[in-house]
Amino acid sequence: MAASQFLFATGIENSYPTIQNGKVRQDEMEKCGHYKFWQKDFDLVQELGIEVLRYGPPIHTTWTGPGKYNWDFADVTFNDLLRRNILPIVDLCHFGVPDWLGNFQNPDFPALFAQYASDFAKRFPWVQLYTPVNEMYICAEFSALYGWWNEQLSSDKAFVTALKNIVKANVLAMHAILAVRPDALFIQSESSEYFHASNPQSIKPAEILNAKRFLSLDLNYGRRVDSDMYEYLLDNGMTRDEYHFFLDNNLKHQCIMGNDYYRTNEHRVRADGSTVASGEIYGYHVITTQYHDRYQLPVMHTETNLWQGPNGDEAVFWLWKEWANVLRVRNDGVPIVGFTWYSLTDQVDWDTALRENSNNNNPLGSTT
Amino acid sequence: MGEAYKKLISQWKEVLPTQTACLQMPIIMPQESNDAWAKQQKAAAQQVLSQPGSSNANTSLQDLH
Repeated sequence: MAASQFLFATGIENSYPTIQNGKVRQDEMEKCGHYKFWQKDFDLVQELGIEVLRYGPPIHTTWTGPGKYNWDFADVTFNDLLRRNILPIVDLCHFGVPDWLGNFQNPDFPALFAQYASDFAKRFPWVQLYTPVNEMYICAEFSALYGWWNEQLSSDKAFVTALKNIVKANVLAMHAILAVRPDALFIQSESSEYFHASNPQSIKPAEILNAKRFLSLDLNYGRRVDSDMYEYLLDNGMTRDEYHFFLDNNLKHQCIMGNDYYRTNEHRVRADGSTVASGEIYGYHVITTQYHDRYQLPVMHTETNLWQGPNGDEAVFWLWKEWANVLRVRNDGVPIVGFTWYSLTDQVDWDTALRENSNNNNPLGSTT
Repeated sequence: MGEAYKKLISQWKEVLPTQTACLQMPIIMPQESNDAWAKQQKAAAQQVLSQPGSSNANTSLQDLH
């Protein structure tokens, strides 16, 4: 059992949402040069002394139709990970779907995705750790509430539709993977957020947002949502039967709760419910403890990074700050099992949350 | 940045054991996937999953916390 230590990880950034009404695919593995330099990337993982890699195949070129696949790139890369004995945490859906599937409003997505997950697990039976859908809440929010990615809709109804489809896809995928690999473990990798009231008038909207942030994990783990959120879900198109699917099908017992934390994860709320970035106020320790109190699951810090700034040491200071938070969480008795600097290499266009196709380099990588 | 992360990992990787503290179900490294003990683990997991109201990886952990 070689993976007996704390799970130090990094990741290959593999977001692939569409923008401009589907005309442009923001393929981070293409922009970051991974398709060309994937062997060099894996070399760098090993040079850092890292055994665990968040990684996933490009869904839009791998999954070519219902039950149809092009495994060429997945085969060469995953076989090389096996050869190197690098432990992948495989994310199968990272902010996008293939063109033929449309977007996250498609009600067929959950069942079709479960088939994809099953077929992946059968092809790579040595893979044990999965993040079936990455950052489910952010995926629904950016696609269907902010209007930035994929369906580019901006309504509560579209958001709830995307959220229920995404979380149901995640749950069905977990069931499908377990049917192939019964000792699989699932690491959620969800953005951890907090909303601060700016003034007394913004206390109520901040409370709503602080309840809303839990929706994806509440549904995924079969936890009854707060009453405000139950009304919100049903008012925006979720049926009672759809809600009860989540209560009846949870696989919490196979899960590790991955919390992502960036300096942008905390927000100030105005009286009208609008928000502005607050910067880091509470930090990873306080917010992760809130999530652990709610779900009582093992925790992994699944994403963080910071721009290498003008002084050249900003990212290093942030690394130490996050690590100090991890130790604080652990010393408080929370079972935290891993830490991830995300990602291995610099990213491209995340300065606009992938909304613009500018090819701007973002110096965020662990090899920067 | 890379050097700092590499140093942090080398200093701390033996200090915070994952499995003994947290996971009843051990993680299997890719090249150990076909080892006898790994196959036994999968078979045991299959047996647990097939039982109604099955006990599972995090049950005892939740009891402890």
